[in-house]
Amino acid sequence: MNSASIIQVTLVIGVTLLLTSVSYSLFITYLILKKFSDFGDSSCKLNEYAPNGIGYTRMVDDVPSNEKYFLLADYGSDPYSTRQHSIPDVLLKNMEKDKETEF
Amino acid sequence: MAVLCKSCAGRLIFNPASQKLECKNCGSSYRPEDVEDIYASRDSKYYDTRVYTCGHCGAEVITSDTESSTFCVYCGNPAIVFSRISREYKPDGLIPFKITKEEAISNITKKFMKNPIVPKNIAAKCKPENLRGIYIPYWVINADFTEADYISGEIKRGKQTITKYYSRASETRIRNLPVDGSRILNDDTSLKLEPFYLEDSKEFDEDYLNGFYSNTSDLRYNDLRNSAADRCHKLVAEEVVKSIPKNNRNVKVRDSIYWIDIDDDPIYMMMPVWFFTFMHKGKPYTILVNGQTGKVVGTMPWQNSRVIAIAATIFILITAFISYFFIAAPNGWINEIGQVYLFAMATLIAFGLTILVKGITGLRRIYKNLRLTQSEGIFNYVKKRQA
Repeated sequence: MNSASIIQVTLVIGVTLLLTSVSYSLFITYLILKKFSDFGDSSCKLNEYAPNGIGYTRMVDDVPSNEKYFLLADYGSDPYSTRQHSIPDVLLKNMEKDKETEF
Repeated sequence: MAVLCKSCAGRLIFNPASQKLECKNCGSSYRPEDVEDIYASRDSKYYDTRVYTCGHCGAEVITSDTESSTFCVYCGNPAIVFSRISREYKPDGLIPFKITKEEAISNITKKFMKNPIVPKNIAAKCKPENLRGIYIPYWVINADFTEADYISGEIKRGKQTITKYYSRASETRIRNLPVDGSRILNDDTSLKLEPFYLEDSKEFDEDYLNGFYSNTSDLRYNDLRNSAADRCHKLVAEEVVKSIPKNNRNVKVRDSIYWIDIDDDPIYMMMPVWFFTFMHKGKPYTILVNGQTGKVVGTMPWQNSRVIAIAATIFILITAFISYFFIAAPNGWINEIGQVYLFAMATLIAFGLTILVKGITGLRRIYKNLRLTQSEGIFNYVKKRQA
């Protein structure tokens, strides 16, 4: 090995070691901030609000990469569009308020 | 409006510890349902409130009693003035405060104040007058939810990584999902406050509001639909990802379509939240405490000098350790012990580079949470509302 390649190898090793040290210190700093400064991650899961779980209507593995378009074609329109609803008074009032501010 | 003590005509305040209205003058206590408010009509759809407006951020804070507000609970600014008496729609129900102000302070102190990186002067600010209890409006909905997802995952085959695609569609019946009914409070923040347990909910009685502030829902129907749909999408997508075969790595939901249909008569509720607001280095911060469970939500500012010192110390120690490990390899790298050293070193480096991504992602998330705590989101929502 000549001196140029020794310098190159040493440089590569040095940079790798430095990057490793940076990685560890960044990660530990993140853990410290997480432990001492940041609180309250969202912990609610679907089963708390859907006691019957997910009702799968399609579950296909290993589909072609253009499957996305078929999926969009099958589910792209609102299945509930024909249902009529009464809107609570509070929400109606807010809609009216917003209309007033628009003009 | 305020209800008065039957014995001495003193002001009654709801005490979360006893779940009763208590008179500060004579110490009498009453169950809220036993107290008759002479100003309120049981059958009325409305109740009277006092509205205060913050001259700094424009937020409106509502009290139902005679307590005057001294600073904005959203931005901590003292420029708050009485604006008007307003008639608001009565919510269907509420969850009364269970956590007292003292318990809320204790929870915040336990989490934030006894650690080396939070500035010491913030601990001094964590006192009763800086804490306000607010009933936040929520809509509790039942809904039908349909979602279709296009998902990708990566499978390793030898040295090759193959991308696989999956399609999932589902119909889910959603029950009792709480959706934040205020445009002021950021949805990400309100999400973190959950869970609220509806078993403790009571029929709305404005006596529960005595001693607290409240906010009314400013959502339109479409806002509610969109918020509810986004919320359901997050929950369903998280679950759908679990249905992908386990040998996949880096599973991502590439595209989703979702539709929601909210049942008639969603329940308009008020949920209890303690707001701890303070200014630090010219920026407003708001730490929240769930008034039912005591869960603390928020990101405290930290002392940069301390965090940098800690990070630098870790960096120096690890660099010294790795360098020593590298230099102290016995008799070069070619014998058996040298090979073990080489393997250990490679593992250390590989692991280090793996956690680099985790560290950066985690730090970015903490900074995002800090920005939420700094009330910028709240400011934006308020500005939007004012526009």
